[in-house]
Formats: sequence, C-alpha cells, structure tokens
Amino acid sequence: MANTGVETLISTEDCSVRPTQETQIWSDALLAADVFALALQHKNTFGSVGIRIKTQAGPVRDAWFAALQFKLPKRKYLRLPVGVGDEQLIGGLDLNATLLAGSTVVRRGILAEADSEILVVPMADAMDTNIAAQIAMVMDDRKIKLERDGLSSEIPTRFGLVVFDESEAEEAGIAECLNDRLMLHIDLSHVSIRAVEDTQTRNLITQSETPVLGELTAKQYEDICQMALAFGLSSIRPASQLAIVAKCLAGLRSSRAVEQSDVVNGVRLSLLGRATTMPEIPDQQQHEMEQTDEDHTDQEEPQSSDQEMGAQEQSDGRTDAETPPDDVLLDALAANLPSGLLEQLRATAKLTTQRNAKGAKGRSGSLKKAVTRGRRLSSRRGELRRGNRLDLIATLRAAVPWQKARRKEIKFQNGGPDRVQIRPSDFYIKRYKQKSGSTCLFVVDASGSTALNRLGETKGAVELLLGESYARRDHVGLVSFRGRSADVLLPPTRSLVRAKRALAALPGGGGTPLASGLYSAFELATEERRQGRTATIVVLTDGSANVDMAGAGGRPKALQDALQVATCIRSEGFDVMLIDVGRQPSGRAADLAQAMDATYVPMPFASSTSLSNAVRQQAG
Amino acid sequence: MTAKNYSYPFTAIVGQDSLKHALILSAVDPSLGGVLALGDRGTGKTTAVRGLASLLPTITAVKSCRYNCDPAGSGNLCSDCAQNNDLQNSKTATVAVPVVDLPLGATEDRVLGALDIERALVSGEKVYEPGLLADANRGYLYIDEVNLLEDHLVDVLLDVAASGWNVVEREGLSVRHPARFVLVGSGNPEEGELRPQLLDRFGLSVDVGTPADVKQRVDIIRRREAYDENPAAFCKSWQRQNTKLCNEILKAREALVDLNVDDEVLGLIAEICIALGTDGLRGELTLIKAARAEAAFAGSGSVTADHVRKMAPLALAHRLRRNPLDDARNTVRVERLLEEIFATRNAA
Repeated sequence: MANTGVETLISTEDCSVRPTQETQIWSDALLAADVFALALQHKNTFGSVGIRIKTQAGPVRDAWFAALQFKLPKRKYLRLPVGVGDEQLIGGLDLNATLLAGSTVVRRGILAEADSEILVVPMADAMDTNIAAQIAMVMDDRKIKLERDGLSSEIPTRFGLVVFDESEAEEAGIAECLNDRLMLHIDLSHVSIRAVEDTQTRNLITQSETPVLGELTAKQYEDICQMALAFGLSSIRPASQLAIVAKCLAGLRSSRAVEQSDVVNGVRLSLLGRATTMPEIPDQQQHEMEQTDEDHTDQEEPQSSDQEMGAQEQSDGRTDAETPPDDVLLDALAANLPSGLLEQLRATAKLTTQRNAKGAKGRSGSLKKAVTRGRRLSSRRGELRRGNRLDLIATLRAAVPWQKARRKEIKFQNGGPDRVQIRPSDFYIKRYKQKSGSTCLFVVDASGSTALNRLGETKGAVELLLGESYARRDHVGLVSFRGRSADVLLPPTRSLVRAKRALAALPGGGGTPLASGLYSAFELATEERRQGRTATIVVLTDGSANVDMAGAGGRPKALQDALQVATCIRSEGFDVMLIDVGRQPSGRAADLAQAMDATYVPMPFASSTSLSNAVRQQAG
Repeated sequence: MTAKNYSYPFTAIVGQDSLKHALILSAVDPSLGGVLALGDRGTGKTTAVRGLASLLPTITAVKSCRYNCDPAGSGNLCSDCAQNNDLQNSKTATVAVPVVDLPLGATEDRVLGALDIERALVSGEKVYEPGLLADANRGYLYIDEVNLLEDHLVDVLLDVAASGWNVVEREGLSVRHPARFVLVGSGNPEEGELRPQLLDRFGLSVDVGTPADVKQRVDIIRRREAYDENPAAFCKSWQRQNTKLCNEILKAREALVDLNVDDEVLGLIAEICIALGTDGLRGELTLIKAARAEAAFAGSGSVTADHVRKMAPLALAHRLRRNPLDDARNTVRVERLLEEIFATRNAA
C-alpha cells in the first residue's frame, strides 16, 4: 500500500545503487525539494515555506539548486545580497520617483519583490540577527509592515525561502529565530559529487496542477508532537512543520491518507537536521543496525532489501499492535536511517547544545558599534560632533524633499539665495560596526597560604602579559584577593604605567577569600561585556579557599562559595583559564577549573616566562 | 476587528496561562505598566499579544481627534482637545482599542512622527504627520523581538512611556501630543540581553515555555491548522468565549474602583520587596496594583495575601539583582522566598 511513489523511489534506489549514506542523503535532499515545491503551491501552508541546505558552496549545492529550478521552472529566483540593509530588505521611499511624481512613491524591498517567487539566501550564517528576525516576521505575517521614511503601509508577500547555511560544524549557524521557521533541513556537507551523479537519472515527480495534501489521524498528530519533543525541539513550530511535511509527502504519492512511512520520512527531512538531542533508539534495533552495518561488506544488496522489508513489516503491523507510538516510530526511523548517520547526529547534537550554552551569549557581547572603523551599518540621523562622519548622500536625500518648503520660507523672510537648503536635522551620520577589543582580567591570589612564595613569579608573568596586551591594544584589569576580601587593584585600562604600579604595590599574606576574588572578576567581566568587549579571565591560585563570601573563615563553606561563583562564571560563558600555582597541583584547583569550564594549567615549577607563554596560548 | 483582518482568537490559545493572565490584568488596569513576555522560540508569544486586539472592549473617542482623545476629558489631551471648551459635546466615535505593532526596521520618523513628506513635496506646506506613538495612544504598543530594537529607539520609547507625552522637536516642528499606552514586549533573551532600564519599565514579566504535554501540543497544531484553513470561521466559533472574557474584564474594571488595599497587605508587600532587595519603589507599586487587579478579576471583595502571593513572581521577577551565589532563574528565586515568608507568617 505504501509501496508507491516516494517509497518506491527510495527503496529501488537502495537496491539498485550501492546503498551508501551519501546517496540516501542526496535522495532525501531531492525529496525535500519536492516537498518544498508542493508546499509552495498549496495556499494553506503555514506562512511562507522555507528550506535550509547546510553545506559549503560547491558542485553538490549547485546540483541541488539546479534540481529545484527544474522542479519549479516558472518561478523567479531572487538572491538576497550579503549584508543587505533594512531599506533594501523591506523597502522605503523611492526618492527619484517621488520627486518626479510629486507624490510619495514606495520603493519595494526585496521581500516584496519576492512575492510568490523564491528568495535565495546565500551565506545565511553570516546574516545579521536583525535582518533574520525581520524575514522571520514577514514569513509569519505574510506581509511586510513598513514604517519607514514617513511611509506606513502593509505589503502582502509570500515566498519560498531557500537558505544556504555555510557554517562549519563548530560555528554558530543561522539565527535561531529564522531557523525555527524553516520547514525542511538538509545537511549536504558530507555528500560528495559522486553520490549526486549516481542519482542524477532519478525520475522527477510530476505534479498535478491542483495539489492534494494528505490527512493526518488524531494519533498521527500525537506521534508527530512526540517525535518533535524526542528530538529536543521544544518550540511548537517544528511539530507543526512536520505535520505539513507528512501531509505533503502523502500528497506526493497522490494519497489522501498519511502513512507511517510519511511521518518517518518527514522526521528525516524536517527534524533530524536541527535536533538538539537524540532519542534513545531501542537496543535491539541498534544491534540490528550494527549487524547490518557489518554485513554490508559481505553481501550488500540482499541485506539492504531485508532491512527495507523489516521497516515495511513494522509499518504494516502498526495498526494492530498496541505498542507505544514513539517506539514503533523510532524503530521505523532507525531502520530507515543510513548507517552511521545517527552517531554523527548525536555528536552534532551534543555540539549544538554546548554551543547554545556558551556561544550565543558570548557572541552577543562581542560586537559593538564603533565610530570610525569596521563594517558599514545603515547611516542614521545624528549630530555632527566629535568624530562623527557625515554621510553626504544620505544627508542630501533627507534634504531634497523639503527644498520647496524651505525656499518658500526663506523667500518669505528675506528673499535669500536660491540654493540647496540643508538644515542640521538633515544630517545623517555614518555608522560602523567593528569587532570589539578584548579585555584580559587577572585574578591574583595574594594570600599567605601558598601564593606568597609564588607571588614574585606571578607578578613577573602578569607584567610580561601586560606589555603584550598593551601592544595588542587590549584592556587589562587586575583583581587580587587576600585577607577577608577582594580588591579591584586596577579597573580595566589600557594604561601600562598604572597597571605596573598597581602590580608592584601588591602586598601578600592573609587568608584566601577565593569566592570574593572570583566574584569581583565576574562583575568586571560582565561589565566589560556590556561595553562590548570580550573578556578573558585568568585566575592564578592554588584553589585552597579558606575565607567565604561573607569574609568569615572556614574551609568547607569557603570552597562551596567559590564553586558557586565558578558556576555563575560558567553560565555566562566567559573564557577562563586557571593556573594552579600550588607547589603541588591539588584536586581542588582542578575541580574549580572544571566548575568554571576553564582551561586548567598546573604550574608547579613555573617561571614568569612559562606562565606568560601559557596565557598567550589560551588568549590565542 | 476589520473584515479582512482576523487575528487568532485570544481564548483559543492553548496553555500559556500565566501570559494570558498577565495580559488580561493589564487590560483590567492599564496603569499596571505593560507586560514583557520572555521565552523560547515558537511558544505563541506573538499570537497571544495580537489576539488581545480582538478581545478588548471598544473605547469612545473624539471623532475628529487624531490621537483618540477621551471626550470625558480624562487622561492626557492633545492641544486641540485641551483648548476645546465644549469637549463633552463634540462628536464622538466608538473605536477599537488600538494595538499598534512596532516592527523591527521602523525608522525613528515613523515612530515619533515627522513632517508630512507628501504635502511638503506637493504644496511646500509643513504639516506634522503623527507616527506610531500617536496611533498607540490609549491602547497598546507591541514590540516583538524587543531585545533587537535599536538602542536609540528604545531610549525614545522609555521616555515616552514614562511621561505619557511624545515631544517632537525636529525639522522645524515643535509638537507635543499625548501618547499613553501599555507597552507589551516579547523576545528571546538568548538573542540579546535587555537593558535593566527597559526591564524595569514593564509592569509584569512572564517566562514563556512550550507545554510539554503532548495532548496540548496536538491541540495547538490542530487549532492553528483550522485557523489557517479558514480564519473567518475559526474566529466566529470562538466569538462567544471572547465576548464572555471581555465582559469579565469590564466587570473587573468596575470592581477595581472600590477596591482598597489594607495596611496589613501593604506591609506584606513591603516585606516581600525588602527581602528580595528590588531596586526602587516601582516593584512595590506594581505589586500593589497587580494584586488589586487580580482581586478585581477574581471577583473577591478585598485584596488578600493570596492575591499578593500569586502576583509577586509576575511583578518582581524581572527586577531582581543578579545574585552571584544563585544561578537559579529569577522566578524560582521569588517562589522560594515567598514560600519562606508565607511559612513564617502561617506559623505566627
């Protein structure tokens, strides 16, 4: 029953071609293109339809794009320029036309032009969050809300969105607000051009003029929601999108009823590529998979068709058996996945969660608006004061519409000269965005316990680093802790002289209020981030805290406090390095480093030079 | 609600009880200071706020007034209406409560209002064209992705939201008009932090998450699909629930007038705020108002400790200073502290 249309295509391929992981992913990519094309034709799909293709620019991506163009020949393909500005994106006042016509003329942005066409976004991972959020909103509303340049209008638009994600595995990827609204996610980064050639001859599905979508049963809706949750996608959109994909897959088979295989295929096309956790595939199944894997080398074709059959049987048996839905689905999914892919996805999923925990925040603070250097932003109305540069073209554009009114006024007053009238309110100021500087915060343990005999070396190392930071134009801050509390000896500064003086005057002796020291550094680092600088914290201690946050003695409480502050620092995702300056590397310092997610460097016999070398490596 | 524009009905939203509750209370007492919805993607923040538009009772406004001034003369009045001695007897119109979207990418001139460019071009006249802030007077201003808004726009908004007046001094214009609105923001804090000044301006804050219950999630998807299939019919089928809720809000507004907060409850509120160490007095004032609105909506004759307890997390969670020794979410911290305070109270 399910053995028609798409199913046949996949299974015949699996039998005739060497069933490698690559060919399956490639055929999934083509299937995704089919779903994309069908969903675009159907008027009731949720908002606009989007697909994300993750791979570097190259022949594989070109081949996929050519296939898409073949499937949707009548559409225009608009490319979103890299670094597009608000006005280009959503539109604004067309000054030329406005002046010619003598009444306001709206310049249509690329999102308006893309109405019922296809918008292609290359290098989507480099896109500004703000631009991504605007595209996401237009996709939701199916219209552009334009409030610019004295214009206020709503322009309906619906488009197909093809997003090319060119990020590497460890990079941040595309803005989440947009990612969440894309229905299909295909990772082609591990597909070689050979796999593409293998399947090039595949028949394309011809679509009827009025596409039909399948219907989901109540139970299938439940399955779909459970699947989305199982893959760690708590947003409601992925589930909603999976429902549409499943319906489309049924539609591609010209069937009114969605089969289980449609849901399973839908999971591959829509959820796998963005999963943050992997559901536990039942052991037995995994075992089978492994076995299949091993057997491949000996006897490929019979085994693979067996596997296909197995999946088929399961889907047939589904309606009768009273097994929990997700298990059956997961089994079917496991049987349906290319071998090895799951492991790979697990690794990526782990990476994604780590990145979300650390990267997202780190990124938001690490860019700042500088005045005179860096990438151009849209210019903005402003005053001409210290260091601001006038954007002449924008200023003239702002002044032009008012010329008639101003001339009238001036003539009325004293019949002044007939030239372009520019007022301070017209001034547009150039704005730039620049990668921000960084700040190195040293947290020095000056307590009597052990650091006293290392204080000299520590001072020497910090001084060397200070010199280097100065050469790099980095800011440097210095926190020391001893006795009952921590002191900020030097708030982040670029002044080398001040830093050296503060360091030289640093006394030693007393208790070890580690928690206070870390907290001071944490506060400074947070403040630096707010200022748009990236903060690196370098802690030099032996980790044997004996004074707690409140300044009272007592080892257990002191250690507990220190660990808690460390967790705080970790949650903010600062770069931290802990140099254990104890004579004998202790477990305590290592534990602390782990709690902060810090690089741990034991230095039992460090000299100032080796210390500074270690820090230099960390800071890159 | 216009014939073409059917927003998703407020009452049809599955789950999201605390967000819905916060929005309802802001409708009961608009002086509460707005609602901030923070949470992950795809949790229905935007849907809930936009749904509010179709829910709210209509208002009466001076017909010729661009700023929807109240003919009864309450609140801030624009210069024309303030000079009109016969304001009560001027022509009035019944209008829907404005819910104005402030889209990302809006330019300053459209937010504040600026010279009418068309009239300047055609006839060389200088006429002020009111902006979004004027449209939002006596209604709601909604900012999606509030954390992505440009800083200079945020500054302007804060200033206007605090004073209730929009003052425009540009292009040779000098205009002052009323702009008293309820600020509703939503955003995902992972995509950019909100400045503390902006956080403090919101009366209530809600952490939004998606329901983990599969049944609820299925409901969400199916209702959304039904809505996408035929918005008009879907809205019609929820019209009765919406009207019912609207009447409840109106009733609560009436009840609010006679509702006083006694000293014991005020003491409790102060105790909570001191224990939490919230900066300034805005926390106390908001919690008092929120507890009153809650009591009015619940239909009880007096404000009790229970109302305070229910509203404290919404009114205070976003005003806490970050505690270095506690990385729990703010709402959790408020809850924990409330439990302590109420345990000692009950024991006493």
